[in-house]
Amino acid sequence: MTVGDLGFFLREALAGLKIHRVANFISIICIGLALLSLGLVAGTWANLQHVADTLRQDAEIVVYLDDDVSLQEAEQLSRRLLDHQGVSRTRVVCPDETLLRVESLIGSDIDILSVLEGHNPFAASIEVGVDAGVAAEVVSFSGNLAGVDYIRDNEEVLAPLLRLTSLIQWAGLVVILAVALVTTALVAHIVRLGMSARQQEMETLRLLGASEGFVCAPFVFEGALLGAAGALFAAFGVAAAGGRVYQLIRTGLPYLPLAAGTPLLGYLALLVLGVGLTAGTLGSLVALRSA
Amino acid sequence: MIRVCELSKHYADGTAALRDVDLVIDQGEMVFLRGPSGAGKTTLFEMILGIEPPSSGAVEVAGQRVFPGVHPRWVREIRRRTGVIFQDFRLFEGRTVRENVELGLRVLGIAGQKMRTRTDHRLENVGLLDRAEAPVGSLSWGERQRVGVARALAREPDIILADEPTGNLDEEMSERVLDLLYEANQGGATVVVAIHAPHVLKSTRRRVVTLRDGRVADDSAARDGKGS
Repeated sequence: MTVGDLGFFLREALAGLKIHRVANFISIICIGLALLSLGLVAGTWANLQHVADTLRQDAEIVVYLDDDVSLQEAEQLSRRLLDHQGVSRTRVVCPDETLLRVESLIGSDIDILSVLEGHNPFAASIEVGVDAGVAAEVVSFSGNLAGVDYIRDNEEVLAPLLRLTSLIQWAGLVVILAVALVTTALVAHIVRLGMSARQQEMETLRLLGASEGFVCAPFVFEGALLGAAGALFAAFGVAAAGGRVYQLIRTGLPYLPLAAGTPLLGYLALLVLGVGLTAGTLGSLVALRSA
Repeated sequence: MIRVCELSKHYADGTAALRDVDLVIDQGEMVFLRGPSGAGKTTLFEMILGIEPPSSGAVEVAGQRVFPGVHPRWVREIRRRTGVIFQDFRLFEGRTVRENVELGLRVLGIAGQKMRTRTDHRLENVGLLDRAEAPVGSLSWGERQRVGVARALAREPDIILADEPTGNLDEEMSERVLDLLYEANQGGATVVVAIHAPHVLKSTRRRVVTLRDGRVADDSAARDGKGS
């Protein structure tokens, strides 16, 4: 078998796929749907992970102050907090900076600032960097200070989010395995059908002195093509559905830190293509092994 | 080149296809195998090709034992060195005449221009060049047989096993095919032709081995080594 034979095997595989056109078409759709579900689960997982990572990087206590607390008073509170054991840093965020941050977060997608009519509704806040072990104690301490309105502890959000991310990660692995198994089984079945239809041809090739590699290679290509075709279908589905969902979330929940859209969709397309090709090839090998 | 020693083949139903057949065919020799249907000609070919195992006895090709103790790689090597004209043609249905011949070459790693040149040459030899792009399903039995001949000869094999290569051909085409086999033999190939066309056997000066009821009933040596 030579490299020049690859084109021949590909043509043979395509010819083989034409034998049971309807069955092959349905298989491609089924493989595509299975891979599409994989792509969507992986996309969800990637986004939750991104949200969790963003929150984790932001792991700190934010002490929101009453509206009537001046910047000078805020600085005093900041120093008191810095004196507390386990506090590594504090920083006063003035109302103007908070407004700028919101502008930056929302970006140009939604023009909600126009409704504020020049009035800044935000109060000053203090960002407090703490050791994880004393976070609860610092929260309690902050809550007893005069002028403190509300304390946001990222851990409250982070803990359930991490649990959900971990769950989705496991679910994703299960889905990858299930999709790989379904694809492998489907391809194995289809390739076996093809082999059965071409049994006499395979036998004649052997009588002409063809190696097993030569006889079997078109079927391996056939399985890989089935997997790849299903994966392409899934990749388009992920791009279309994922893009639409991304746009909806960006519009409805603009402050949610989603993973960047286009690169993520590219990775997801690569993932479904990889799983599709691998499972397709594996399916062919299973069919050849059991023939 | 081909050595068959006390070869027997008994089927489960008790019928015997071959009984203690001893046969030696030298390299470059051309031998006609004759005998009625069921005499064992095709079974003998199948054993030389490593398709059918014998019940007892041994087969050697080019000094290598095929049976018993057959090694798949060696069987494949024999098949690669052999051009077989099958009685039932064994063509690749759904493919064109050209593809059938080319596939026989591609198996040997021959591709590209060399493959096309050899294919055209052999198709011209058997009068099928103008039908090269026709699907074999549209051919008559005689034309199918000629595709089988072209496929076997295009491989330029060391050994040619031809099982009734003229069975479906008219007299003119039969002579043409036999001439091609003689030509291949003169080029050095060992040729074994299973045939029962009386006019061919009557006129040939080559060795004729007669099989009857699975035994070698007669083995007439060649009247000379060269002529047809």
